Amino acid sequence: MTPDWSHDDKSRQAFQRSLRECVIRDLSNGSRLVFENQVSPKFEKENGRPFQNRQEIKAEMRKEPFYQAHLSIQRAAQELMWASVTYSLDRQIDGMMAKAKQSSDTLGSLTINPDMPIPKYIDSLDIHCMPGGYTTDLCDGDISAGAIYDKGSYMYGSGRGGPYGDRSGQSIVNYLKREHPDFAPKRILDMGCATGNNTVPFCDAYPDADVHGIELGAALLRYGHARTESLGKAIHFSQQNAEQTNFEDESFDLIVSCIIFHETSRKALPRIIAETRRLLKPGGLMVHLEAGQFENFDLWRQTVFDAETYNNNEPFWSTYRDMDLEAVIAEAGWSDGTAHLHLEPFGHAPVTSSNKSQKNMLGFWFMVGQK
Amino acid sequence: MTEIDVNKLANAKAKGKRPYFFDDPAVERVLSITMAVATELAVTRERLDTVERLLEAGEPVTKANIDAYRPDDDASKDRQQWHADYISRILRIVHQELEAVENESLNEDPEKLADDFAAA
Ligand SMILES: C[S@@+](CC[C@H](N)C(=O)[O-])C[C@H]1O[C@@H](n2cnc3c(N)ncnc32)[C@H](O)[C@@H]1O
Repeated sequence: MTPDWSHDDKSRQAFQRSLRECVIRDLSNGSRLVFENQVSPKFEKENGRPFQNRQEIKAEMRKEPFYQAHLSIQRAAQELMWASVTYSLDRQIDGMMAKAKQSSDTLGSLTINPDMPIPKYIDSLDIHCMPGGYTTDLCDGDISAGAIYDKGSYMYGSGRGGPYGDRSGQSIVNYLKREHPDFAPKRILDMGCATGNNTVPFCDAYPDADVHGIELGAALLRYGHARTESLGKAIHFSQQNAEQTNFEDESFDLIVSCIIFHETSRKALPRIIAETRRLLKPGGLMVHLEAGQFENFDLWRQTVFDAETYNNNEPFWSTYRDMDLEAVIAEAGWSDGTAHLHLEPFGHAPVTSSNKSQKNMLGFWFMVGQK
Repeated sequence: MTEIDVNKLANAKAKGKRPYFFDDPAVERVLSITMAVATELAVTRERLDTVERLLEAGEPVTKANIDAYRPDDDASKDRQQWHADYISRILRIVHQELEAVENESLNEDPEKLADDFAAA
């Protein structure tokens, strides 16, 4: 399903990747210097105390010309990144849609439900500024959101998701193989699977299992289905809300998700965790993967992450990162000791009790539970 | 016949109010346009690089050959390096502001020095 990018499309995308690297590395480092060398000492001198929270830092930093330029260029780069992917679908989209329509159901399947209501937290704005967002459905058989998301998220992650964009799914598999080597799930569900890139590793890790993926966006699912079939993998995709699915009670051995929590809402999140519990068989496992909570980072990092909320259309991001997840787990019906949070550092280093409490550790946070 | 206007979609405003970071929104607009222009210049420069490489290899410089050209690893590395240097050149004022933060001795005020030297 990969489009045949033209010479100029490739150049445009390559330049956006370079610009992004520059923003992430140089401009972010620069803003940190402005903060440490100027803004922070000045604040301490004037107030007789250091900054106490990221809101105070934000208020002071937003007055700094360097930080203003940093955020402005970052926003422009984010918009241009999606545009560079979307332009390249010109002259390609018809062929890709035709191919997707012909894509057979020999391995997996696709079930679209046009009557499913889209929650407000998904369609009130275009998350990460991706034009059209996750759920725009432009015509019969539209796959554009999927094509844009697949290529765009590769650039978004500066290629760190790997050539197949499956690093998150892969890291859950690594964790399961290490911690539960004998676990052999027969039915697996990935919630909020988008185009299924992070669902595929479960097909490879558990070849005898039935693998399902649910997602709100129809065009993401159509593209994902065609992509998965073309890779020779079997995934059953359906358009469903993870807060309330049509699967029967106790119908899965393993339920996972990759970075969907921070794109939901205060009320939806516990519902998704409760739905996970309803769907799991006794003894079944849940592993929801997410970015870390603010408490795990120093105030400057919190400020940088928080900027995503207003600079990158991520309205629930900061609230999520401030939430008491232990309380949410309990609220969602997981009784004491059956679920916990776990840090899986990038690069597969096993977690120890000493690095777990360290600030600024970069890795994936898992919400793990066994029913 | 396509029902999707790809260029319209690519240029569409992302749903959600756009943040403006400078006191004057016109500055934001100019910077955003500048970044888009910088992108298009980089695209043109890379096309020219392809033309040069085809010429060097003694290949006919046709539109089809340009479009079919795929850089090898070395050419890709050269091009990436060019991007990095190019971005440093266009963002030079931003980098200079940073140098000033890192090194206080770069920040002597000429007006104050004029007064100093008038008296010294
Ligand atoms: C950041 S994306 C991650 C997608 C995918 N898991 C991956 O790793 O690439 C979050 C996805 O979650 C989906 N999503 C959010 N809330 C959902 C819900 N209640 N039910 C199903 N999908 C949801 C969004 O539509 C979006 O595709």
